[in-house]
Amino acid sequence: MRLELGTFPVTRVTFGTAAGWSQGGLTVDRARLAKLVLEDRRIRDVRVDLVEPGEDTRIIHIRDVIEPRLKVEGRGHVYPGICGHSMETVGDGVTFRYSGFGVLIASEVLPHIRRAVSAATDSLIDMSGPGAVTVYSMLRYVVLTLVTQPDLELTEWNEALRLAGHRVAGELASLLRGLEPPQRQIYDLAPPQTPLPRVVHLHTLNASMVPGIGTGVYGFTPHALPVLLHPNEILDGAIAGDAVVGYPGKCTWLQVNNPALTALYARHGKDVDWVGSIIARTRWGALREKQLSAYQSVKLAQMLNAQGALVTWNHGGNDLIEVMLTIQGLEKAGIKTVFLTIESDIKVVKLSRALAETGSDEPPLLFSVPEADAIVSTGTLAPEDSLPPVSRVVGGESLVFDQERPDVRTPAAGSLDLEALSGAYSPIFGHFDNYGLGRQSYYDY
Amino acid sequence: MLSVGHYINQFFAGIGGEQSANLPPERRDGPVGPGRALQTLLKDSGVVVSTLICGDSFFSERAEEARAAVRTWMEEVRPDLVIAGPAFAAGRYGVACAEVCRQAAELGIPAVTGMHPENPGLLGYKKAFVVPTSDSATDMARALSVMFPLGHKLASGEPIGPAEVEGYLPRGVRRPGRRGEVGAERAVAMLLAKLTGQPFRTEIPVDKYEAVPPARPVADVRRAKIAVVTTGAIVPRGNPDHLKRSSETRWVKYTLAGRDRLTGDEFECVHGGFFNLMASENPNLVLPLDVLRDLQREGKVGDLLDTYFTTTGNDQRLADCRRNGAEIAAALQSAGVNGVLLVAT
Repeated sequence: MRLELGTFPVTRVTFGTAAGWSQGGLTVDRARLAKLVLEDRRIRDVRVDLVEPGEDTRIIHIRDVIEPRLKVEGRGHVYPGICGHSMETVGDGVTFRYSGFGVLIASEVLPHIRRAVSAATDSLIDMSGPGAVTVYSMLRYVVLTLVTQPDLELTEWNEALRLAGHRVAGELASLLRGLEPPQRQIYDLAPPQTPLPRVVHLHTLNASMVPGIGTGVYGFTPHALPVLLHPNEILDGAIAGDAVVGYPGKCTWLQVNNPALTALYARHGKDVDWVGSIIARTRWGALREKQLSAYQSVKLAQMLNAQGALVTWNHGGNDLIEVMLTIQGLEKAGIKTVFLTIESDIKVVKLSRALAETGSDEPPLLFSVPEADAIVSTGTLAPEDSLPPVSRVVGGESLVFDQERPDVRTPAAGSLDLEALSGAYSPIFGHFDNYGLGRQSYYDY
Repeated sequence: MLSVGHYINQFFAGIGGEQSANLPPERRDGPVGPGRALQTLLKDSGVVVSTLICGDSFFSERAEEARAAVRTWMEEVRPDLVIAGPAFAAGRYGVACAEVCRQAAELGIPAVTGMHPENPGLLGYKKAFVVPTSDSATDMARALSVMFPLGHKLASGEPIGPAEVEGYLPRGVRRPGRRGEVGAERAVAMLLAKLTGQPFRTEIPVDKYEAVPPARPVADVRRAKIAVVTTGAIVPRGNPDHLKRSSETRWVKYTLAGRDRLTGDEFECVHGGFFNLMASENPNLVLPLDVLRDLQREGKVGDLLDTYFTTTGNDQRLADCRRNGAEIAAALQSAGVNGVLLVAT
């Protein structure tokens, strides 16, 4: 499987009727995008805004971020299996993409969905100031603020939002057709000239407890036994998030920009022989299911003759049990593991010295096994201070910090003391660095 | 000029081995034994003003007296820095050195000790600054050469860097900090090191978990007063106290009085960590009042407390869990409860 990615960096975005990309400048046709979104009768209203890094802007009610990509050659459709896209296996041929840019879907959770899905939380992205701690503060956006029919049931709501985002992303990606990409890079897993240590990526991904939504593999969201993916499939969007839950590590943009894939590709053929990514779903209900998933993942790694495994995960509490069982099983099978993980779970909302400390009152990990002797910590992305007021809010007007008190609303433009408002859960979108984009970590003292 | 107090055992004082291990605490002015090497390291920057010597058996068997002697010594000598040991692999000596560090911390005096990473003394006082040593005194010069600069830094009030930078053992405290490469690259580099037999250092040492000792069995459940506690977030319908679906910090209690079972009309489950629809339709699945009432009627359970206690066991801070546990236990105790059915989800 050989994939060529043609990258078009985006350094400015403007509105205009002559839509297109030229030398870093992307012009988008506001009216055309709005019309495209409103073709779906489930969406009653849309606002299209441009947001860029460094602005005094806060985006709220973020449901997902999509990097526009376009299949130029090869079978299938980018982001396969969702939004009516083909189920055809992707990862071959030529794909164009924008870098530093995303289509952001913003929409306030409908009240009945807020009641039913605790993870459908309100979130925010600050584009400057102390809250600009994640990668999402560094991207340029076309923000679609969507108002849907009020009575859409959960999966309909998810589909309507996601379809709007992907239609717009597809439209913007199609502007690249026929252009010459400034950067081209080829991705394949060609066998190395001389034998190198064989490494597998054990890519554990939580599956939703709520039927019909969640991060999907080719759009397939339920719990399932592990499956082997070529990393190129992931680069073509085989893993995509929903437009409901606010969990970090589920964002569609992140899946195609996963730095763990980049780091493994950078070493492939030089230091390691990367044999692929085993996708293992987590958050099973019963211990026997957790064991089965872990043992089958280990078996797949053994059948691939893996000598080493990079184990990643994307959030959760009980998920960590099967992740750790997998690490234990791999080590017992003689496959050396490194676990890449956030630390301190979700406990730190504001990085005061006392709150940020782990190890004494808070264990760095909820659960572990003695075999997990090589762990990389991506720490916490909690901001060091309260978030100051902003001059512009995009995506809505106010925020709910307590799902059980939806009537208690906080104006989004004001100063936000997250620790006081949100307790133990950070509303900053993508507030964990699940895959190691940054240098933040923890040290023992 | 730094004044240093040094704690050593009878063996390193040259008094004798096991036969002298009952030696009561005694003070000497100036350096003794390894204190002389320490004085050499201090050069002109400080003086080992006093040495406290105690037999290892004395320290472990007559702990109260030994502790009092250590405290009095420090209160009277008032050193700027206390150095204890190093104890290497000697267990009782390690425990004593850790205790000396604890006493020093209570008096606000910086202290450093040294011991082998498997010395049981490490369990005694986790917050002690302990420089790792080999298992024998052949490592003395090297150990002191790490202990002294660390102690000097502590005494001068300079901020202390991470354990791996300053050369002490982790003290159970972790703080955020940045590293040279991004996480993903560090992870692949660590994997490569592990695969090729190169040294690597985990960024999260895996801890053993605190073992909670079980309570004594209830002697006779037929005569016992039983209570139900659940982390399953079963609340009266409408969730009057707004119990959170995750990251809850509190616990709540509600009455079971006059009920034979819980119905979905009157109760619901607000736990956000599992698909809770079935539990909301039939709350007895999480809080088995129906079965408990049967057992009561059959005489297999003595009495059932009319109040149940609940919280949401989903993404809670450990500090909150501990506090909630203690508070609920106190409430149960004052209600004369003999046994608790603890239902997790």
